[in-house]
Amino acid sequence: MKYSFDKYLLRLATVLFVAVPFLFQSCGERDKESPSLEVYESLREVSRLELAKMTIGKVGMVSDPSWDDANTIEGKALALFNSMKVGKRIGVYSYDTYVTAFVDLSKLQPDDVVVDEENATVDIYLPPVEVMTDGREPQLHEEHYRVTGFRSRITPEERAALKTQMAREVKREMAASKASMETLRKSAEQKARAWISGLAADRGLTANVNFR
Amino acid sequence: MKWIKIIIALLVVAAVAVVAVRFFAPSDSMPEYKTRAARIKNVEQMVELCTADVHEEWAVKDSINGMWVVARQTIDGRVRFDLDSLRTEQRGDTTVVYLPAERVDILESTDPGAYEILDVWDGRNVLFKRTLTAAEENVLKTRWQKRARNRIYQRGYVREARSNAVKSLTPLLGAMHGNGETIVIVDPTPNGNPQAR
Repeated sequence: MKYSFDKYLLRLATVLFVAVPFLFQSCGERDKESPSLEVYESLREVSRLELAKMTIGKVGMVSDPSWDDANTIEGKALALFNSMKVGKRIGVYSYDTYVTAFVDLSKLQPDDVVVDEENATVDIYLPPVEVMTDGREPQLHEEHYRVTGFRSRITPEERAALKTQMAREVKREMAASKASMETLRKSAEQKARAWISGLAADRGLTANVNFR
Repeated sequence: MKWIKIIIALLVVAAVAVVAVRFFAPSDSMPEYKTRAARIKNVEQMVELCTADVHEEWAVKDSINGMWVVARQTIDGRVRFDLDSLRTEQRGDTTVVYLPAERVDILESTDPGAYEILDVWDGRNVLFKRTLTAAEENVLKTRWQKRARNRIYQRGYVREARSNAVKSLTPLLGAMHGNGETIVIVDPTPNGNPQAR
């Protein structure tokens, strides 16, 4: 009895040893053969694909506060005080901020890619276009500078403070400007469609690229 | 004589008012600088793969024309590859794709206080001290940009970014070419080229 049980175990082990690798191999081949999965996995590897860039210019000025522009008591007092000083003090500065539109392909889901080999088409549903601020130009361009009389020169601290204020305003203005962000998104979507369609065409597929 | 007295009195009153308001008013009531609304200069399409992001804050001490400055700056660096300019070569049934030169962008962060002047002084003149001009400051900032770019190469971020780009593009180009064709991605400069922009 003991002998037959050992023999049974040996047979089972032999069957498993031979059959299991075949089972795994066939599963692997089935996955490998699925063109939808292959295209999905390959796109997912790309992660962040940047498709459009927007350059935003901002101009700011270091100058004496005028009586009309001053909204606070201090502003009015400074305007009055400055109007009595001898000379003029004005500096106009500008810099650019860059905003990038991208698609994060790591957010693709397996169902988002459907390859139909019979009709030679691929339907791709891309994640929504996202927008991020890339950064700003470190340099501050001096567009105009006029300091006359007994007025003090414009200091680097003032320029840095001006730039901080301008950066804060750019963020606020961009968040409020839905039209310009939409322009950037549309531009990115257009580029994504063109680029992915070109890639699919290399494989002999007609791509239908949509956004979720 | 009477007018001079009136003018002096006005000046004194204005000065006292400024000092009093500055002393008692909360700091956030300081007048803001005049600015114009932000303007879109251009929108540009591209296909770029970004495989490295660097966010760094550093203090820097530097001089130009005898003017010394100590500042704190936060930079955002990114390593990108232009996928529209992939160079390919056909060798039998194998397509060889060459990874293009990287573009390392170094920009100042848009976070509040990303650039702050900690100290500025004239190292040459004791009596007639001058201030750092905008042009001088821009020369310094260009110099710092170059240093930041060199650091990114020295720390191996570019090498890593290039390696990641090859890993990302190999399955994509392989899947999209299909039809049994072999795709090989070749990186001609694995360490990148610090001289390239």
